[in-house]
Amino acid sequence: MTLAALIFLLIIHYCIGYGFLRLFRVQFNRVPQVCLTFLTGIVLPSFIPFLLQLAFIPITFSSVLISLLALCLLINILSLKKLKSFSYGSLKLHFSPSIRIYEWPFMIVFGIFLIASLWRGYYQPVFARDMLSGPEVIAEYTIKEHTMLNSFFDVNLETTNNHHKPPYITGLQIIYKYFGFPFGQIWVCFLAIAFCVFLYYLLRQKLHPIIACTIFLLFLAMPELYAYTYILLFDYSNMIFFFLAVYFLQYYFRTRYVNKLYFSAALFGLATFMRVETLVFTAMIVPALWLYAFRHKLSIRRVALYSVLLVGVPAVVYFLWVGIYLEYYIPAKFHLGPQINQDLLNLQPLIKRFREMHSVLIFGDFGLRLWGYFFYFFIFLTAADIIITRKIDKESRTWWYAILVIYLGLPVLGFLLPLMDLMHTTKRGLFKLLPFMVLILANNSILQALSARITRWELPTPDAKTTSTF
Amino acid sequence: MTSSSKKYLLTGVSAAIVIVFFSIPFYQNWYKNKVWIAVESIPEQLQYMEPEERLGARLTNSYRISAAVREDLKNKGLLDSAIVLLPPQGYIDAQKFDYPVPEPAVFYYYTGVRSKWTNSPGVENVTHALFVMKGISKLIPVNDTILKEILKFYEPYPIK
Repeated sequence: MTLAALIFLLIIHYCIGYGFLRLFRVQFNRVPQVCLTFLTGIVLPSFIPFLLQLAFIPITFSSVLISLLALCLLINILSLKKLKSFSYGSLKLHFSPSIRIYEWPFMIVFGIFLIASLWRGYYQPVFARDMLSGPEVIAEYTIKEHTMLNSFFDVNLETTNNHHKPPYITGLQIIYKYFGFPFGQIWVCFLAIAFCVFLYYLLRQKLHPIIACTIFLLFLAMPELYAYTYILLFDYSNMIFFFLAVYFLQYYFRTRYVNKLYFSAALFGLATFMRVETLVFTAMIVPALWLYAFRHKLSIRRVALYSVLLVGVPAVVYFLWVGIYLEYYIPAKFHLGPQINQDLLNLQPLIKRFREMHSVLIFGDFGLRLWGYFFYFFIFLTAADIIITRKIDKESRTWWYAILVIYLGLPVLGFLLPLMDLMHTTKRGLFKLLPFMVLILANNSILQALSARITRWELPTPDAKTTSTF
Repeated sequence: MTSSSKKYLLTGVSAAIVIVFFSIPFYQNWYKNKVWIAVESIPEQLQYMEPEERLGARLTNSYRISAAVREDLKNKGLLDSAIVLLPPQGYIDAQKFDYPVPEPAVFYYYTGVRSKWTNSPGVENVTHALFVMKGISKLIPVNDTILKEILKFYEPYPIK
C-alpha cells in the first residue's frame, strides 16, 4: 500500500514538474531534465494545503487528492501539445544515463550515502526541534482536524516561533501523511537525490568524470550538509531553489532566452516559500541583472520590468504568507517590529557576527566538523586559479556575485534580526554558498586543463573534448 | 596502451582516490559513525517498524515518558481535559533522571495533551503534574494547594 502510494506520488510529482518546465520551455538533456522535473514537481504541491486553508476549504484526503490531480491537469493543459508527446517510452529513455566504468568506485560510495539518507528519511521520525514545535505538529493535527488552524494553537506557544515559518514543509508533510507515510519527510531525500544528480551533471559537463567525482565526493561528504539530506528542515530545499534560481538567471545572461529569466523569478518565488528572507537575497541579486543590462545595453523599460518580475514573484509569495495568512488567519499573531534590532547605530554586533561566521562556522575545529575540508579545498584551488590566470572566469562571476550576496547578506540579516542566530540560521544559511562553490570549481582553469589532459590521453582523437555522456 | 586498458587504469585511479579519501581520519570516522552505521542498522530496524517503536527509538525518553503520560490519562478518560505541569529541566537534571523535558508545543505533538512549564501563562489551570522523585516519574492530580507547593518546590530551578 505504501509502495503504491509512493509510486502514485512520484508520478504526480513528475507530471506536475513536467508541465511546469514546459510552461517555461525549460529543456535540458534527459538526466538533468528529470531531476528538474522532480525538484519542481515535488515543491509545487506544497502550496495545495496552504491555498485550501486560505480558501477555508477543509483539508481532507479527498480535497488534497482532487487538488493534486487538478494541479497536475491544469499545469499540463497549458502545454497540451507537448503533453501529447509524453509516453512511457520517453520516460524509460530518461532513465538510461551512461556512466563510465571509472566512475563506478565513486558511484558505489555515492549510492551508499544516498541509501543511508533514504532509509533514515523513511524510517526515522521527524526529529528537529524547529519542526516538532511548529510545522510538523501543525501537519499532524491538520490530518486529525482538517484545518491548519487547529488545536495546536490552543497550546502554550511562548517557547516557539516555529508556527510562523512558511507552510512549505507543513504542506508536503500533510500530503505525505495522508498518503500513508506516518512521518512524511521522505520527500526531503527525493529532493536531495534529484539535486545531487543535477549538480553532478553540471560538474560533469565541465570536468573529466574522475575530477568531477572527486569534487562531488567532497561536496556530498560535508557532514552538516549531508545531515540535511534526511533531516526535515527548510534550509536544504532553500539552498536548492536559490541555487537553481541564480543558475537560470545566469542561463538568461548567457543565452538571452527570456523565458529562463521568468523561470528564475518563479524559482526565487519557490525559494521564498521555503524561507521568507530569500526575498531580501533576491533583491540583492537584482543588481547583477542591472550590470548585465548595462553591458548589453538593454532598454531601461525592459530592465525595470525584469527587476520588478524577479522581486515581484517572491514578494507575492511573501505577501500571501506574511501579509495575509500570518496577519488575518493565524491565531498567534506575528509581529516583525519587535524582532528588529533597536540599536542599529551600534555596529558591534554586526562585526561580531561577521567575525564569528569565519572563526566559528567556516574555519577552526567546529568548521571542520561542519564542512570537512571542502572550504580549504575550494580556497586553495580558487586562489591558485586566480594567481595563475589573473582573472575570474566569465560564467563564474555570477556565482561569485551570488556568494557575495549570501556572504554579506547573512551577517547583515543576523544584525537586523537578532533572532536569526549564528549557530542555527547563519550556519544553515551558509548552505547556499556551497553549490556555487562547486560551480566555481567546475570552471577552475587548473582543473579544466587537467581534465583536458586526461581526456586527451584517454581518447587520443584530435577533437577530444570533456563532454558529458549523460 | 589500448583504450580499454586506459579505462581500467583510470578505474584504478578512481578506486585509489576513494581509498585515500576514506583513509583521512576525519572522513573515515564520520563515514563509519554517521553513514555506514545507518546502512548497517537497516536489518535490525526492519524488525521495529511500528511508528511508536520508531518514535521511542529516535526521540528517546523525551517521547517515551511523555507517551506514558498520554496512556495514563487515556486510561482515566482525561485525555482531552487534562493540563499537565511539566517539571523544569534543571530539577530533572538534579535528580539525575533521563528525561529531556519537551516544551508544551512538542509535548502536544507527542501526546495530544496540553501542558505548561512552570513559567507558562495560565499555569494555575493545570490539572495534573508530572513529578519525578527517586528515579520514578509519576503523574499526580493537583489542586490549588498542591500546585502552589509544587511550584514553590520548583523555585530553585527556574526555566531559562
